Amino acid sequence: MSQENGLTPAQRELEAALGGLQPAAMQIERDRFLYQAGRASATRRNRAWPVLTAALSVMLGLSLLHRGEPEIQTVPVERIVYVQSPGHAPAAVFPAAGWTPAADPDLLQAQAYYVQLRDRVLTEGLDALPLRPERLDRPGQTDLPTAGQRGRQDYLPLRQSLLQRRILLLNGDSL
Amino acid sequence: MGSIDPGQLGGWFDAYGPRLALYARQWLDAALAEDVVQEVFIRLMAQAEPPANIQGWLFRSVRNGSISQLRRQIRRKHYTRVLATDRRNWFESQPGDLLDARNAQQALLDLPVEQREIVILRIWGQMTLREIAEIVEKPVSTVHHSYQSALQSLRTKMKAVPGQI
Repeated sequence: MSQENGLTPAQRELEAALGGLQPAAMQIERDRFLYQAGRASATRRNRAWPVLTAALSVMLGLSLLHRGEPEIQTVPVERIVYVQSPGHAPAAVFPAAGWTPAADPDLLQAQAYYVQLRDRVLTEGLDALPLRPERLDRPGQTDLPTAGQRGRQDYLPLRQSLLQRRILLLNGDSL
Repeated sequence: MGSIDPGQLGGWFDAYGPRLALYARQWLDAALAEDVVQEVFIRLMAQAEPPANIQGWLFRSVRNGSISQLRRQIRRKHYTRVLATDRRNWFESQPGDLLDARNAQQALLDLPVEQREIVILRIWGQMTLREIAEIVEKPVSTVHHSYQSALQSLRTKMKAVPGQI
């Protein structure tokens, strides 16, 4: 302290005497204070991650808000589409209200056979009707006598029953 | 330079704590002065890097904290001659002291606050007049003049007490 100029010897003596007085000790517990200081410091450091996460979340939200709708590009693709002519379009068959597909495989087979037979009749006429009823599971085979064996009159009840079967199917009744 | 470790902080606390508390008591009572010092050390611990001039940083921080605390006390009208009613001594009495600690305390209390602050920073803060000028934000010449005036006043008061300088 003596490097400062302008002090008289008496002032320097007083300065030295005052400097001999020791400031009173603090009443803070040193160890407790250091613990608190370390804890406060750790708390502040740990606060960095939540703050960083929150900031990134806000940035992500803002970027999503300002991104806008994605641009939809229409690319024309040429394809060959086969369209059935109106004259040959099969008539649509709408099931009756409340009709549910049956789980019976025999019924499904009968329905498929009926549709095929109907299409043939619609395009070729009544002559398309087979002379002998075919087995549904094996088309072309029959368990019944041929028309030649039983006569054409025998075949008419069979056709009648087929028509009744069609009516039942359209009404949604079970066979 | 990395962050401050607790051992380093403990060393600074031992070296500067009592002197900083003495400095803070220019404005506050003993308890509040120690609170301010404690807060300053906690702030120091939170620094990413220790300040280049640790002593200057500590005294400046304690000064700012003490003056802020004093303003809060005045706003709340709790500040009623704190220094006069503070019964805790500023100094530890030692057998080899050349001055009586209580007389010295009273003589310091009688100084204008600006002079008293400069004396404490100079003698117990062990700072140069230039460093003091930066803290109190006054020209060095003004600080020098105030310090000389303060020493002269102290000498006059201490001479009036028998057995003192």
